Amino acid sequence: MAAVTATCPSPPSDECLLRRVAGGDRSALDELFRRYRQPAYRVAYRLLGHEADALDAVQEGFVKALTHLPSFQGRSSFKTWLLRVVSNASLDLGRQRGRREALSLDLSPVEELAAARLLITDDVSQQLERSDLRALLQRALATLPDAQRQTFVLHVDAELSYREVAEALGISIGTVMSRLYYARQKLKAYLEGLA
Amino acid sequence: MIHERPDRNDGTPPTPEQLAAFADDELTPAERSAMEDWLANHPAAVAEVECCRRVKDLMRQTAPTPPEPRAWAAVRAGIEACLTQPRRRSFPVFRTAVGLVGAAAAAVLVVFLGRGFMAPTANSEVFPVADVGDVMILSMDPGDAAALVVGKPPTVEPIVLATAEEVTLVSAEPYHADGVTPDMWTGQGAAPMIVPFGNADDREK
Repeated sequence: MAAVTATCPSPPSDECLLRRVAGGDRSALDELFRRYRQPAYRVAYRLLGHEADALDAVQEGFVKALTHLPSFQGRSSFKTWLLRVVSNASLDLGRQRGRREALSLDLSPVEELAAARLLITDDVSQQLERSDLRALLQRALATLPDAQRQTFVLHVDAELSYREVAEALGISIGTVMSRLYYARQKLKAYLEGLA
Repeated sequence: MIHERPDRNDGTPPTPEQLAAFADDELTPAERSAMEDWLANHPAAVAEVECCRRVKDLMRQTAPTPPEPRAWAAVRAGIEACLTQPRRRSFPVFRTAVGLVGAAAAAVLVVFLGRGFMAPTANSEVFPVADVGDVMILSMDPGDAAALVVGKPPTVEPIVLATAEEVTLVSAEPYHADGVTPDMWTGQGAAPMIVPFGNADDREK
C-alpha cells in the first residue's frame, strides 16, 4: 500500500505554507516572503519614506507576524494580518528614528506649482520626473495623522478593500471610509496650498 | 456592501464618504447604479469623484521602486536569523494577563499617587499610548465618557481608568534580567497598579 503524503495544492495556499513554515520548511518561508514582500515594502515605504527604514520594517514585520502566529487565529487572511503588522512596525520605527526626509525635493517653485496642479487637475501637459512627484506625495502623506496615513496606505498602496482594511486594523468599515475621506481632504488641502 | 447605503430615491445627497467609495469601486452593483443615476443629475459632484480617483491613480503610478535583489536577499537572511535566534527585548515585558470588566478605553494607563510611592515628576518618562492626532472619536456612549482621558501628558492629577474590581491579574512571570516578579498592588484608593517592586505590608492579597 502506498504511503499517503499530505501535500499542498499548487499553488500552495497561505495556510498550507504557514503550516510548513511552522515545521521548519525554509522553502515555504521563501514563497511567503516572495508573495508579500512587495506590498509590504510599498506600505512600509509610504509610511517611512526611506528605503533602508522600509526594508527594516518589512523584516521586522515578517518576523513579528511569523512569531505571533497564534495571535493571528485565521480571523483574516494572512496578507491582511501581515500588512497590519508591517504597517504597525513602520509606524513604530518612524517614531523611534524620527521620520526622515530622505527624498529631497529639488523642485523650483514653478515646478512645485506644476506638480500640485497635476494632482488636482487633469492637466497631462505637466510632465514631472516620477521621483519628484513621488517625493511630493510623500511629503503630503507625512502631514497626515498616523491612523489616517496607515488606513490610506493600506487601501491605496497595499490595494486592500475597505473590508480588508477594516479587518486588518480592527475597525469598522465606516471608520475606514471616514479616515480615507479626511486623509484625501488633507492631501488635497496640502497640495492646493502649494498652488 | 458599504456601511451606509445611499438612497437616491428620497433625493438625499450622498455623503462625501459615499462618493469616495464610488470612486474606489467599493459600492455594490445596486449602490453603484443608484450613484451613477444621481451623478448624472448632479455633474458638480463628478469633479469630487474624479479628484479622488486622480489622487489614488497618482499614488499607484508613483509606487516606490522595488529594492535590488541583494537588498531582498539581506532582508530574507535577516528574517531567518531572527526566527532562529532568541530575540532580545529592548524593554521589559511582563507576560501578564489582565481581565477587564466594563467599559474601557482602547488602552489602560494607571497612575497612582499614594503613600510610599513616588509622585510623577516633570521628568518622568511618559508611556505613549496614542497621540492626540491618532485618535478620532466618531461616536461615543455618554456613559463611557468617564473612561476616556483626553489631554496631553504628563498629567499630574490621579487618573483612574479601571477600578480594582475590574482588574484581575491572571499570571505574571519574572523579568528575565533581574528575576523580579510583578505584582498587583491594590492599596489606597480603588486604583490598582501593576508594580515590579511592592511593599508586602501594603499589599492586599
